[in-house]
Amino acid sequence: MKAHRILLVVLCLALVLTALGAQAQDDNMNPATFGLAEGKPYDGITLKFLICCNTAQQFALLDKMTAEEFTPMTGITVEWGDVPFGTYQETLYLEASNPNTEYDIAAWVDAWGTNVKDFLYPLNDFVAQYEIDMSDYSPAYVGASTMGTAGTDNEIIYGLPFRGHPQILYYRTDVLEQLGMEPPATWQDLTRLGEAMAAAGMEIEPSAMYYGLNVDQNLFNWYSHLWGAGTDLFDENWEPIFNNEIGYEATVQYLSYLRDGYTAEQSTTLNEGDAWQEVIDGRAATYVGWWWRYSSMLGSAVPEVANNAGIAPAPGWEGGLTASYGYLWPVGVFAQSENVEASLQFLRWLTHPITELRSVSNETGDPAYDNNVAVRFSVLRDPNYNERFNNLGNVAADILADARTIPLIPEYTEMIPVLSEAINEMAVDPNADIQAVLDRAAEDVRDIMDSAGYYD
Amino acid sequence: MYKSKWIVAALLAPGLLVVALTTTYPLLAALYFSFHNYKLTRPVEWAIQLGGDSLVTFNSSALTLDNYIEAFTDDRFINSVVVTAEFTFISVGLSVVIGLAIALLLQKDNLWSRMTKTILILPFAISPALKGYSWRFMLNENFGIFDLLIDVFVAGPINALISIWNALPFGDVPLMSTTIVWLGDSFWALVMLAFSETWGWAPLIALMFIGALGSIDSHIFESARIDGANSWQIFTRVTLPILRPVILVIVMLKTIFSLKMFDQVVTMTGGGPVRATQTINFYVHQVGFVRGLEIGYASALSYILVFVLTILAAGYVMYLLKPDYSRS
Repeated sequence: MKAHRILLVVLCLALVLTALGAQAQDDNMNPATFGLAEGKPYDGITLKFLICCNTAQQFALLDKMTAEEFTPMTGITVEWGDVPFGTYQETLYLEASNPNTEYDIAAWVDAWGTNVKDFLYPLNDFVAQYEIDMSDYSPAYVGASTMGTAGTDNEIIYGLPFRGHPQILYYRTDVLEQLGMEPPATWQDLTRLGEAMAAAGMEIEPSAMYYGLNVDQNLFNWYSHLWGAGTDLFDENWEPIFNNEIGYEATVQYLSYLRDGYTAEQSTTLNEGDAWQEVIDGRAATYVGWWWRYSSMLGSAVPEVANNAGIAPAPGWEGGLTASYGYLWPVGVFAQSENVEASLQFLRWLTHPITELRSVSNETGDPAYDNNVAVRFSVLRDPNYNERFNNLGNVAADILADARTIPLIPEYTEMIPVLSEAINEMAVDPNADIQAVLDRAAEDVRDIMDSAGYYD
Repeated sequence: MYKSKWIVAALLAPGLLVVALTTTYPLLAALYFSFHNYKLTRPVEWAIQLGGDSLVTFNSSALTLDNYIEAFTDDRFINSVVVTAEFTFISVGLSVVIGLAIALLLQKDNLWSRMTKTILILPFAISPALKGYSWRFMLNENFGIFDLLIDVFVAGPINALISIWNALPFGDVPLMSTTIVWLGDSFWALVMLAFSETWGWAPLIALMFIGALGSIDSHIFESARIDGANSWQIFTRVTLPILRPVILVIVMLKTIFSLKMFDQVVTMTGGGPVRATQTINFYVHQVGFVRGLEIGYASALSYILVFVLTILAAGYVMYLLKPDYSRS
């Protein structure tokens, strides 16, 4: 009888705690939690969000959360687009420049930002109103979301970081353990790993590189080499400097993995995804690429890969810097939208730290929505996040603290084919004169800048 | 008569309207853009302006031939013209020759022939983009089936012969490489792109030839045999001359399609290595939508291609409409 009473008390307590918990969760879903307007002043408005690929778990989950949480809170319906990535760039440009576009909100790849910024609603007042802490984002992400000089009056925030990727070094722990080596901290270490693997007669490739032509993917690791070695694409006067002595040295190192036989010969045709396949199929020991691939390494059908998945920050330059490209999709509001205020409400909810944390926590429990994409340091450093993703957040935060972004000028998209083809040319032809190819590319880039009036 | 004219016009109107909106308007708009320095993200001074003091204002100074002039000094465009010409030459040649060979093999009507003819249409039914992806995988050095077949059935026998030759005191021929990165080599990438196109088109062309061969009166061949002609002589002096009009139509049609090559370049080679497979349409897309957003220049480049295609299409249509087509 006494046992029954205790059980009853415990059950009652459990019920009360559950009710309190549910209440607490409901509290989180109040407009006040996000600083949104009370009383549903935008009730009935439908917003259209120009975005791609609902196959990305982050987008799919946030789309679901929008319908289940944001809409009941505000009365605003948001229709998420699902434009295929292959046609997304041109769709974005066409919609942005269309005064009668039916879209209100858009997300874009950082490199495309300069071509759409003139059609976006400035967010400086929005950021000030909600006291959004921009230092909670990587400098690379802030740079990709703003134009003008940081901290000055001409700094215009036209987007907020939404989906971002740092560069991670993936490695096979079994291979390194066998050689008694640490994960390569520098590119020169990667060469040493290649030498050691060759000396040990290991059959798998030391690294899966990608020098193939696929928009700008063969530039990502080249940038890390350039920045790490201490140079850049341009000097402060927008003169190309990637062909200077340091740039040459960095490029030689970047191509050395191929020329020395530490990556597959066919890496000259591989893009980022193809090269990753080399890793998850067990043919390569290391790979430097976006962090969101981690789960596919853990889920590889090859047990040696799945059971020996290691991650570390992308390598830096020996005696130099560790700086890799932080790739970002900012999100913003079209200036021509007839629903700017309602769109800003959605933007606030979408980029709020609570939404971000709940997105990576995937409270649905459905594996189809599992994703690790976070852009705020506070979320990346969250202990639960790191427990859930094997410390991935801390590694990412370390990388992002030193990450950089690409030149945010309209001419960048014109430069990409020049640079990308130059890298491909040097990779395809083992006898190519690296300095000559770099000089020619620099001349072509200078012509682009000159015709755009940079040297007038 | 008067009434029936109006009925005809009314019945045609919806169709004409759809054509005007989906074909004529984009063509005219692109032509107009091609005479302006129109960059998608920058303001532009248009020659025709609506509104203002008068309903329509025409400003001829806003028109420019710069885009057309630039095309002929743009080494990337010139490269794309050369690549397109090479690709067209290889793909048209291979498609017609292989298509004709398949048609001759399947000319006899039996169960195997009927089954093969049915299967033949499948490669053509595959979308060009998917074809490009498939070929990219099939040429992969690690797991590509075509790479493996080439190694086993081409490189293997050739290297066996070379080895026998090299066993002789004077033999010193290098072995054929079995590690060619097909899409990483400028020559092979273009050839493989053309092969992928041939793979899709040759079967369709074969079906066209089978139809043409079937329409030839068998008495003609019998007469040739009675006159003492052997198989080769019958093929070169009887069959080919009779097929000439069909071959011409197929060559023209295939040339038009080859000149428009785009999808497979995107999915199979990305235009590489370097610029080795950048066709005109691929380059136009790069100019207009990927790099400079230069819609004016991209339109001008498109119109240069349209000009060439129009000449070919006109030749094709004129040939088809010739009253003595069947007897030529």
